Amino acid sequence: MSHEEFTDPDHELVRRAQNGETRAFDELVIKFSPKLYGMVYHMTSNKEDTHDLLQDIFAKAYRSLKRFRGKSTFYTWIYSIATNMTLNFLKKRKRRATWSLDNVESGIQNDDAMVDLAHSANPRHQSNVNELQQKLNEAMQELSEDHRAVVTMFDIQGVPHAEISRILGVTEGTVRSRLFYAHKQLQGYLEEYIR
Amino acid sequence: MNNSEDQIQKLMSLKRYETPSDGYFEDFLEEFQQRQRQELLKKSSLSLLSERVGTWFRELGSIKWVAGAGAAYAALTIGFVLYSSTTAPEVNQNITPASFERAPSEPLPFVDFQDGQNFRSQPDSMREF
Repeated sequence: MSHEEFTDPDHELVRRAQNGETRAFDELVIKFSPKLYGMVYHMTSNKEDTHDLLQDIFAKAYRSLKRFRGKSTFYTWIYSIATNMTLNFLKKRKRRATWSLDNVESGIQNDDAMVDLAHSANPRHQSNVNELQQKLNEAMQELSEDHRAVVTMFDIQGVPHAEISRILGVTEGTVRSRLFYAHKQLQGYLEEYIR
Repeated sequence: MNNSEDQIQKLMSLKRYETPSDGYFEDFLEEFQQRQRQELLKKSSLSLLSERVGTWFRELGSIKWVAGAGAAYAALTIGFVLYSSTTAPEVNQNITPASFERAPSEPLPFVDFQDGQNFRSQPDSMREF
């Protein structure tokens, strides 16, 4: 048994799915759809496009499942598929993004960042949630797709640098430099929210 | 990491509170399962058709070789015709067509009718039709 089989928590589910158990693949869909939804949504800022893309992503993963050899975790593998398909979709989408945003959970009000904003001396910073959501999405869409991808994975989804480098097939140094550049750009767009 | 970058990261992390409505992922799975069933049906229809064609072909007996050769010949002919029509040589638009008008200085061609080949001089009854 390889090292990855010890560290991949989904090894057994994947093995059963590869043997034709559709219920096993259903469990993988249930497990990973929230995370993959988030990645696609933050890249596209459009929930309808996200839904369609996500269906295609899982369909492709299902068709390609027998070719998965366990050299990475299943999570890394399917996340790579999702990222590549999303980047290809964005490159083909010539028109500027038509936004269709999800609602914001009420739990945001208790987040440290929101609390900081609420306590800010600058009244402009005490913005309502909808306005902030618009502003954050505007800022994200100003980034290139490659920079948006690293911001989505690291800042929004908390994926470590090493994992991002495996998903994107680039070095960790490249991940860090893309993040650095993206943050510099975002500072410009979100200046009014930074003390 | 400086303070601004830290604040940027915290701000961007707020986007994780943007989530689809309750029940979305259950509906998503149902739709995915339905799509899988449809794809399976489609694959089954195609493989069934392929099987039927294969059975018919096998039951032709020795004539299947003639049928196969005929189909191959037809395919080659169609392919050649299509290829020819797409690679037809370009017509040079600058070429002027030949004129059948005789240049004025040229004499008319001489025809010798002495050996009776001028049919107009013979009576109708002797003409052969």
